[in-house]
Amino acid sequence: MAVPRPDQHARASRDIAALHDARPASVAEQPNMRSGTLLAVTGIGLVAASLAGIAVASRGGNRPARAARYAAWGSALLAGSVLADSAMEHYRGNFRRKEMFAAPVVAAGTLATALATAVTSRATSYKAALFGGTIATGLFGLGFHLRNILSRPGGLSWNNLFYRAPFGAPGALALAGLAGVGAVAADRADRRERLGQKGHGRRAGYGLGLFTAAGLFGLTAEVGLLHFRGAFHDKLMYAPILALPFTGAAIMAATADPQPRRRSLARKSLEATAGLGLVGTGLHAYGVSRNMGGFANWTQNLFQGPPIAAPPSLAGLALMGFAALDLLDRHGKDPSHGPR
Amino acid sequence: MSTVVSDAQERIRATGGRAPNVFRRGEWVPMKQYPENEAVDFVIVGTGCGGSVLAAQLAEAGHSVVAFDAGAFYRPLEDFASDEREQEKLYWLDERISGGDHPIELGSNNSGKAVGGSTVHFQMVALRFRPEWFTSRTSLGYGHDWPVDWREMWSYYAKAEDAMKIAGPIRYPWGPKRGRYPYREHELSASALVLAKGAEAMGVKWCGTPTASLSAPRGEAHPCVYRGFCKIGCATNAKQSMLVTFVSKALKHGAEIRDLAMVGRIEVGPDGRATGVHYHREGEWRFQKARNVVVSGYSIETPRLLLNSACPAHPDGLANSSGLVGKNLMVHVNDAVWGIMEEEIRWYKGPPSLAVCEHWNYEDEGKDFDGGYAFMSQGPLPTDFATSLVSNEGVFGHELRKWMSHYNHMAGLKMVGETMPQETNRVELSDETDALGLPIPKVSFSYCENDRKMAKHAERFQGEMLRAAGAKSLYHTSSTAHLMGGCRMGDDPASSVVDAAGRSFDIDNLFVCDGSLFPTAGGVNPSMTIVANSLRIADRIIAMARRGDLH
Ligand SMILES: Cc1cc2nc3c(=O)[nH]c(=O)nc-3n(C[C@H](O)[C@H](O)[C@H](O)COP(=O)(O)OP(=O)(O)OC[C@H]3O[C@@H](n4cnc5c(N)ncnc54)[C@H](O)[C@@H]3O)c2cc1C
Ligand code: SF4
Repeated sequence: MAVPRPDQHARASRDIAALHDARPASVAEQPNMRSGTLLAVTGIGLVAASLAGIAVASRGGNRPARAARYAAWGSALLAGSVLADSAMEHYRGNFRRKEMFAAPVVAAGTLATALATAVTSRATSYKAALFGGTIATGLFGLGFHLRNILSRPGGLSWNNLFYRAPFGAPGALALAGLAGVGAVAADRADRRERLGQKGHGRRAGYGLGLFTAAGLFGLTAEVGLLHFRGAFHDKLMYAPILALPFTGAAIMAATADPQPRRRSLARKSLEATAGLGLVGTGLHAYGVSRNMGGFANWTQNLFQGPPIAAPPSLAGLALMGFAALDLLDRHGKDPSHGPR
Repeated sequence: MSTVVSDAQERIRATGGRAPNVFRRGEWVPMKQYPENEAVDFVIVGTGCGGSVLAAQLAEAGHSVVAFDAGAFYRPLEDFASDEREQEKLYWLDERISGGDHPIELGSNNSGKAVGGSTVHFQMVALRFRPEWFTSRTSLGYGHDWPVDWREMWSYYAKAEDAMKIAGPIRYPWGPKRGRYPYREHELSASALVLAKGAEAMGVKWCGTPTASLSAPRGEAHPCVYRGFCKIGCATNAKQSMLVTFVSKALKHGAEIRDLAMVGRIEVGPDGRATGVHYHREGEWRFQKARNVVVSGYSIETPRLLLNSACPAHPDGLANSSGLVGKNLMVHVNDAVWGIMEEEIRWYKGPPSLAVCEHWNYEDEGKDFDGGYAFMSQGPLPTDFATSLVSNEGVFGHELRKWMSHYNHMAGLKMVGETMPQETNRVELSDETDALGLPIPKVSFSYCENDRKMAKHAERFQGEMLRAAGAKSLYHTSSTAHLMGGCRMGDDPASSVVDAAGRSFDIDNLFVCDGSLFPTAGGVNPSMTIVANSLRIADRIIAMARRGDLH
């Protein structure tokens, strides 16, 4: 059982020498940027995109309808969340493929467009086209992420679903685009209704309501998967997976049959979801602090998770839902003019 | 070499009504203390998988417990360095004589010396025995049956896994269905993916290894940071060693821990029953009275202590009427196959063995040997790896440098193979004594024909899998890991040292509870089986006490 066997040893050494010479040069995997710089750049990106959006808007135009403003703010929140998240996660993945730059860049563009949509009604067709591009990017992203999952041994395994490129992130980008499209549609519908063309508000509300519900159900799956990955080590981790589908069902019900009682229930649950988004952000920050070194080691631990940028997307979806409700309030059964 | 300023090895820490708080730098937790001249319910020698579990459970049930450990009481956050040399302080490196045809290397790969035992530097692979191994004589025709039903063990595994928050796969591909692991499996490292790729290419099942390292926060313990220093002590407390689990629990329930306290002899009274232990602490020999004594020093130190406690009533050593104390010592064959991958692996990242293949533990066809083996992906730290290159391949100097230059492209598969119990593999006392005047243990070990056949089989199979994963320039190293046996438990006083409750057949207030109880080794790393068995024994002892069956 003693091992040094001279013949084998000599052969192995020769092989190794050959391999040594042939060994591929180690690839410069990490982009030339430290994580602190990356986070600063992400932050600047967020601010720049926001400023750009507002700059576009400051050049006049009408103030959009309330529903459009809600949906646009929702889109902005979702896009901001995707921008921060994808910039960090794709950096962590070394931006190994050029396509990985698309997510943060498109998210920043979406953020700017969404903010512009929130403050002015101008250039709606351009905005709709841009939001359409966001949706397409999100769908492509889903494809890339699926391929990333399947490319690893185990295929569609729990391990790969937990740790490989997540489905939820490009999904959130697509939702940001949908919220934007919804904002534009809501604004148009509002204008037509004011011109006396009935039915447009109801239809826009219907579409926004369905998308919101679909987003809430999708998010339930994503949050459920990741909180399951965290073994629900904190009981509060159950809160979103109980609240989100409930809210989804409530908004579905209100959309299908927009009577006052259903609208009110949907509104209350959307408020709770938005609140959960805020509380969740705090809880995720606490989660980050529980990693070795806490916030003193922020350049590492912000990546280690849980992602602080994720919970705000709950508030983004809730805003989208408020937009739907606003339209349904005005144009549903027993119309009212919104809360108060 | 970086050194941590730590007085843990020089000065006792568990004293003055407090013990180190392992979760905080420089802080303490309250500790109950017991006088030496009043008998405590239980004295426990050793605080590893056997001792600390028993201490926690017995204290929780209201018994007075004092647990001794020869090692230091560390606070991982401040006492552990990212340095292989510095961390040798965790190994049991006291002098031992190793002989036989295949003398085993003692220390780094099989025994630790610290409060928390060997688990402070174990590699966290958390596997269960195959059910049939508990009846390996009757079901499989080799070794000895365990005096316990597999279903009972199965329920205690679940408890052990929950207590250590094992991060494991959602579906375990071998053996009967088991409940869900309390924490989710870790992300696979590149070195684990090599095993996965090879296994898929060969059409053999594989899975993420159940691992005793946190994949999510737990109380004050941080989740794993995947830096891969596990084998030399985890500085984040992600590793669920006995130190951060059962030792903490024991303290909370009123057990006393005495660190840097080496027990040298068990005292036996005129009635032939144990009365307490002589131990060396702070430069002097002292005596602690006890109603019951439990020995949990692992497969070498447990027999050594029992043998060294020989007295006129028990001239061959305590609990040794069968003559089996120290015999049937087993190890795991730890041979490995290594190769160079085209892509960068950086195998030092993360817990070292994140993927496992138990195929040959559960498949009986196509074997020319008894028993089974598992194998896992590998991630040795540089010094560790260089050392194995030198000792196995004999490369040195420039040659060694050249080999080590492939370190970041290396991958390996290493087996944990069941050796057969043999009476000639044993622990005895030598004539030489150590600094405390205690006889140095002499360990003899030789592989049998079956062990060698298994090693050959594994070398072939692992090589094939590594090649299937794309590795080139394969080579093979030999070593052993873990210790099992030496104080076999069983139903028959003639062929075992203690009964199923760990109680000596000869002395009714003397117990053994650790890895030395194993009748057979099994083809998996032993710690979960030791913890589960200790939880089981604790329940039996508590039940005995309730029945008035104890003293
Ligand atoms: C490097 C390494 C890696 C390992 N990896 C794994 C793994 O991945 N998975 C797995 O399942 N197992 C692993 N093991 C094995 C596992 O750690 C041991 O099997 C287990 O800890 C044994 O438990 P025990 O209670 O029997 O003994 P130990 O945990 O060794 O505890 C015995 C304690 O008793 C003390 N002691 C002994 N004699 C005396 C005395 N006379 N007086 C006072 N104190 C005394 C010692 O200091 C020690 O702390 C590994 C072991 C090593 C060394
Ligand atoms: S890799 Fe994880 S378990 Fe291992 S030493 Fe680092 S933190 Fe601890």
